[in-house]
Amino acid sequence: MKSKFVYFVLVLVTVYIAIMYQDSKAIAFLGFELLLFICMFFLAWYLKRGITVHLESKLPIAGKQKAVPVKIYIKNRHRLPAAQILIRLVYENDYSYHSGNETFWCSVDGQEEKILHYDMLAEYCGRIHFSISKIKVYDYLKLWSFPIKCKEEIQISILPDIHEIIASVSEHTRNFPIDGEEYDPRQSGDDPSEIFQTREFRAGDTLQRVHWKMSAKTDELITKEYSKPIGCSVLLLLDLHFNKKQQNYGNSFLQMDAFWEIAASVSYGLMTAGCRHYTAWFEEETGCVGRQYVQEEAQVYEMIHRALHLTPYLQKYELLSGYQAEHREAHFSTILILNTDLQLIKNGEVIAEFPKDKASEMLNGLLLEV
Amino acid sequence: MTKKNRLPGIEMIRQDTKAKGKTGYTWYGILLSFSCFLCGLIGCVGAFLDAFPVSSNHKTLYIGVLVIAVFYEVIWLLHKFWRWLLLLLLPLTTILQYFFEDIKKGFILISNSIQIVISSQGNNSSIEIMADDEKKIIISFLLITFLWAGVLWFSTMVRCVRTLTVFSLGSILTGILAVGQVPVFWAVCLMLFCCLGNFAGLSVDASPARQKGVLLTIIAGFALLAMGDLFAEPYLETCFKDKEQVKTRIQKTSVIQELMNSLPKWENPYASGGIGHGELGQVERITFSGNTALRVTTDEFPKETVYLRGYIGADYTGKSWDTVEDTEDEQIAVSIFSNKRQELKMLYNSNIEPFRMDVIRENASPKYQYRPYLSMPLEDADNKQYSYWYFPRSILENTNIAYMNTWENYWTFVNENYLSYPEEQLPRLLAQCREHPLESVDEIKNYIVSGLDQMAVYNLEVGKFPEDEEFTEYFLYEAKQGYCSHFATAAVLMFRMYGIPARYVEGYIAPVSDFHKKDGEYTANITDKRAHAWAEIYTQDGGWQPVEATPGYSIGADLPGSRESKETETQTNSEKPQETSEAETESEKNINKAPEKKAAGLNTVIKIGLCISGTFLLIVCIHLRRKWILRRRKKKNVREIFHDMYEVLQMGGLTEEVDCQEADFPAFAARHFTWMKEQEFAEIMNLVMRANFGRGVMKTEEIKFMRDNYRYICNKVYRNLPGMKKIIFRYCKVYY
Repeated sequence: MKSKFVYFVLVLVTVYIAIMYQDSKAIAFLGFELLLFICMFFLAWYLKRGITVHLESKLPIAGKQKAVPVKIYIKNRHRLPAAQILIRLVYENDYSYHSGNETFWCSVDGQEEKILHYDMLAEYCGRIHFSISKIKVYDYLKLWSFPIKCKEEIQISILPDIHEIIASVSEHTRNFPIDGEEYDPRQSGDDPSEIFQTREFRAGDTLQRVHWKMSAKTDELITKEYSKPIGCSVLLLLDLHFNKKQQNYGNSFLQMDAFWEIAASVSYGLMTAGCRHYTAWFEEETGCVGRQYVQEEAQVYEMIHRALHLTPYLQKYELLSGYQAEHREAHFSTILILNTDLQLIKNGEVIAEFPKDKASEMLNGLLLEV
Repeated sequence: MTKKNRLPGIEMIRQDTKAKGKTGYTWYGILLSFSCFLCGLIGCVGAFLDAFPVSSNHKTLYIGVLVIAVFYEVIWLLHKFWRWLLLLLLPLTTILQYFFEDIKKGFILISNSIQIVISSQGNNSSIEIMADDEKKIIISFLLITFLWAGVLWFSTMVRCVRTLTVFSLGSILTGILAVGQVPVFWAVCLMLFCCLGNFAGLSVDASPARQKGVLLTIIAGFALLAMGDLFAEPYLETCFKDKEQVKTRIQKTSVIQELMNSLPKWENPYASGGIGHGELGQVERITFSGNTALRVTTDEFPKETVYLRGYIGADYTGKSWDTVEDTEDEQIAVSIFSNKRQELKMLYNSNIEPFRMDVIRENASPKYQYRPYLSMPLEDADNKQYSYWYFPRSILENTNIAYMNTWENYWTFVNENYLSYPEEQLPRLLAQCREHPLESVDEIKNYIVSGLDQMAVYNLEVGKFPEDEEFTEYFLYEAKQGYCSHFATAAVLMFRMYGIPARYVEGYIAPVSDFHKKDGEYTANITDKRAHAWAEIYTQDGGWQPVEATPGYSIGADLPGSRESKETETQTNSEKPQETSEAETESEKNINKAPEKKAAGLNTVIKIGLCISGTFLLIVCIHLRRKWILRRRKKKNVREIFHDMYEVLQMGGLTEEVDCQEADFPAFAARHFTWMKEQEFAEIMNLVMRANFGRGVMKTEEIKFMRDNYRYICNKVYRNLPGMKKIIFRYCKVYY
């Protein structure tokens, strides 16, 4: 608008000069100005039709303070260069109250593609959404502009830092009878209700395990290997019921960041101590209780990745009851609950309360007995 | 160029941004930038030299300009150019010191050349320059060019400051146009290319795409300029065929005056028109500055309005009153009143002393003496101050002395000069006068004054009359409204039709209310609002005497608009002579209130009109603002909608202490606002929590759900609000 106004003033001045001075060239200049104005309109319109913008990030998951590349591809299909393109990139953290943006001018040569490369460094964990809210293609003098629509959006999950906590698995937990419906697909066990595999009879195998029917069919002794039930004696419940006032801007950043750090560290600590466990949460969107079995490191990260999609909810939800109703396994030697007040509760007793700004310090070297 | 609005906890680092310095330069870019800079520089120098031929040795000057341009380019290409520039300025300063006298002389010569061009008003004037002076001029000129080129260099190459480029180029063009010269075409073209390059975002380190854009812009500019010259100009010239008329109109129009005229006037409607030097109906409207025009001082408090004659018109042309030389009138006055003073003294045993009146001219036109009636000028007058012996008419009437009869010669002169009128142009007025034959002067005077009062209304905003209409006839029979000049003109013509010598007078009136006691004297500061026009008739026993034909004015009466100030005066000066209050009482009796009411009515209509227009404008503004805010509200996301919703609920009575993030908020809200269920509030809150802490993108249906609920809540809350809050809700806060 500013450019148009300046141009309008220039035209007025030319008109004034054309009237007041005995010089026909002023009229020629006026003609030039009017032609240029029209010409620039069509140029902007033409350029707009040839520009496409694409947003990309090849790293959907990253750690905190790790550079995550975000690329904006601007392609110009036409021969003429697009010298003035305005782009606004908007980014937003799930737990933030506001969004940030970067507005910049760029230019793309004719029939070329330009890549704008950004590195994103995140201080807090969570999901970060990137989108392009505004693209405007201008003519060379910035008199006219046309917007381009771009609905592309990318999401990058920033994982929480995992701190080393010392988990100690008690004898009680270790020998806790597991009553699971699932069986280990890789190991055989002693549960006769489920056959893991059949194989040739070897010396030392008991006759009770001989599969007589199959032996008769194959004319050789075949032995049954029973399945090993998979079960956990420890349950970690993540209670995302949010009941605190957001006192100032950025508070939720810290709070949720600390929450996920504690959850990840506890789960990782249990895993390293050889304590298989379930991590469960309430998914408000589906109304179900989701869970993740954690035995290996990869499963910890899978759990975190899934959990980062979760939404804190305002309504109070009895997570343990919900879990028991949905998954039936009611018997656990230890039930750990982590709530958004950053309290870690073990079997109904608060064993640790983390301040949101010093959670990482407290987590390092924390002794957790299950 | 990047504009950032950062989010805490996230940092975005642009990887493809070039490091600051000169690593991004290309020869292509450097060449293009330099070309633009050179175009601007040579264009300016060319335009200047063409308009102001300060030197005949143009070749040397252009070579010098080229050297300057190359100098700046080289400085630019060297890293840390500021340091180099400063370093090179040192020897330059030494050279300047060495040539100081020559440069000084050169400046004077250039200045003289420019002055000659200015004084020749756009005519081509040849300037002869001595061979010795040529060198001095060249040095001075190149020095100026060097400094000026620095500004252009900075704006085009260093920082790409568009405003500075336009300013540096535009100042030259404006200067040339201001002295009536037209800049040479090729120079303007060069400047234009420089500007185009600058506006297209040219810089040395611009991306290749942008540089190509600049080049294309310049090429397109060149082509379009040729097209404009060859094809567009013939078409546009038809639009400018009446340009001479427009040019004359522009030259004759004062923008300030037009602006002043466009402003609403809140002037005193009882004030009469300004002194127009006999011109009739030439102004669109009468304006007053409020400045003191005259200062009148008398020994005694005047008993009646003092009329101070300025312009005296004798011949009526239909558009103006022309004056005639009338020196005898002055001689008679001096002759009579010098004797009269003595006579009066003898008659009244020296009890009656004529007044002394000093008239000091402040802002009134210096063309006229402002002389009261029945007065004799004193010798101690200067250019600004005139002193008179002044005789109140009431005193002279009491003496009952017909002293004028002796001046037969003047009577003949008066009959010859003050009885003519254009009969053929005034058929209706003449017919009217003939329909009412009257004999005595008093009857005629009464008939004219009352007749004019009935025929026309006093109005200062009457505007110009049509050119093809006769002024008086149009005033009396068509427009039927006018101010003192109109009434006075009509009165004079009517007196002449009845055979009474009459003339048209413009001057100032000083009502008694304007006089204030100060240091034993009575002083009146007469502002330009007291400028007035009236008729004068001549009788053999009374000489020239004013006749007030303008409604609302009458001889001896105070002005209607001044009464308030007079009352204040009476209250504050209890020691004022008894005559004052008598004069006031008499004045009030004489005032004709009808035109006052008419004028006041007209003024009220204007005021009401303005009020209605203002109100309408205000309503339009409020409506547009409302529309704008509502449009913005439509674009809001779930969080922002909830923010507004919360404010609406608070306006509906929700206490501020309630935290919307508490679990029991839906229940609390449902209890408070019974027209909405708890479940609905809970759904809203869940949506808000998701928007706040969950997935970034909300579905269209969810946003619609939120918006529908917002509208529903607004509707319900609005209905329950008291009157004033409803207005705030809809028009100040614009929630709904």
